[in-house]
Amino acid sequence: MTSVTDDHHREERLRAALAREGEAHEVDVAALYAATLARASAGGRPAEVPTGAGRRRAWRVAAAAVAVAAAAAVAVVVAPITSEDRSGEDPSSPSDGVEQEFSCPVQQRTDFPSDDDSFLPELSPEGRPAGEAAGAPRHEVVLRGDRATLRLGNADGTLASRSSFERSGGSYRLLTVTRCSNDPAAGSSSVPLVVEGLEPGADDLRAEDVSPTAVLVADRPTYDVSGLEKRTTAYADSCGARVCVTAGSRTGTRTVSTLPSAPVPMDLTSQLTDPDDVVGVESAQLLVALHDRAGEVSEVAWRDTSGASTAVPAVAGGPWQGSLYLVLVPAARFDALQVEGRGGRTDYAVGDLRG
Amino acid sequence: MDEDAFARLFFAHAARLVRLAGFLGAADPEDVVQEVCCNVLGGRARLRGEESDAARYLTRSVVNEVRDRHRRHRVAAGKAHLVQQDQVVVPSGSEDRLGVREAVAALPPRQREAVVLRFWLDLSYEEVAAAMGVRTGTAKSQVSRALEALRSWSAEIDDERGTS
Repeated sequence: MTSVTDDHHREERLRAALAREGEAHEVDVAALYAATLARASAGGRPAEVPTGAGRRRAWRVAAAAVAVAAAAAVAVVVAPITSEDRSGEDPSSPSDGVEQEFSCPVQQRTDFPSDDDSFLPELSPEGRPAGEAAGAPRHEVVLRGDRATLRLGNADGTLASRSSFERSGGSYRLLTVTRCSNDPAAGSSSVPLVVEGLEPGADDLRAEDVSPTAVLVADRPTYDVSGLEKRTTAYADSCGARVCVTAGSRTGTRTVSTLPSAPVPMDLTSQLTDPDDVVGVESAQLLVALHDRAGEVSEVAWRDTSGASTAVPAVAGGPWQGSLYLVLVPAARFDALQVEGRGGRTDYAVGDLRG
Repeated sequence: MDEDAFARLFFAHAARLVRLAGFLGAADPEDVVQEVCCNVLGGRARLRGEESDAARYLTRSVVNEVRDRHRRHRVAAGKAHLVQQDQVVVPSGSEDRLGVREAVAALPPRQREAVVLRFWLDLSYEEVAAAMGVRTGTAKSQVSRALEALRSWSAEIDDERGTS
């Protein structure tokens, strides 16, 4: 025997699953439009979906159709059954939209109500992004009956978060948020902490912005609470007799950490995140640095919570005196940094690291 | 219908109609929508009234076109015995999305229509009935049976999550 609650639960689950499945089905409307016109002119015989010049013509036709609609002050989409609000974007230019699927490796889903209030996107009663959601580089809203889906995107169009809403009493109530998140289970990375194939963007910090001798030690994407991608680019360089690590962007804030002159490990995790995004964010990664200027250290390793140790190699190519060690590890798996020196081995747990 | 009006109608509804045809089990959803829209553009179907009327007409046309194709397919299969079966492609996914297309595709055609119109397009029972060309009571009973049939799909998800 089932209860009304069970039935409602099943209906809601089905509704949500169908909505997601429907969204996953990409439709090239402009190409289909061109094919339909060709088919109609051929007396109804099927026409191939055009490519190349035909496809480009389809985009132009699509743009013209939108322009006609705008000139006539007619909303392009007014159907009460379903409507797709591209929020002012030209639907003939898919490159201006937000991708349907996530390309980030890890996502985190929150069902509301929830204790997690780190990111609460909003829709206005008219179905427009509001509050912090309106600040995303890109957004796209799909309205379907009393449901709405908000996709927020990075500047390059990749999907940062997908939120679903239900219309309730003249406003939209948040149901779920799925967003890109930093991978808590990622394996450790030795230096350079660089993701292969990552091309520097216009805003990314370059070595020449720091100093001619700076060495790239970190260049990887991280995600803020709204799932938007932030690039962490960091360089190590000599600051007199010590080592400095500079992180940030070319046009934004930069942070500089000077490592201790004694071979004591320092927690540089905050440099993985833009200072504006640090508050309220618990990093899934731990970035630890150690500078051994006088050659007192013979070996550095990090130990995980299972007791296994992994050696940390020294960073090569820098102008500094002695050896520099940097390691990026999953915070949840980190147990201690092991430093082997003349006086034996010293273990540094998280609480022992200098901040 | 002039081309500008047709373009507005097409860009407002084509994506939804293609997805609807896909959910209803059409082997080539884009072709279904082309067929329906060619009838509109060629004047074989006359659209009058409000945009919402056009949306309802297009929805019903897609439902009918998919039905016709299934019917033709079954007749051809009965004669040839070697007709390739429609394949349901299930994109990779997660959470509740996993398997919903397969689960819906496994429903009898009328139940499939009812459940997609009701829960994907969020139509009222009256609108579902109009799109299917049946009485409202029939639409309700088809939805009810479909939900009952989908009970195992929902239970599998609970099992996977360990939330049953």
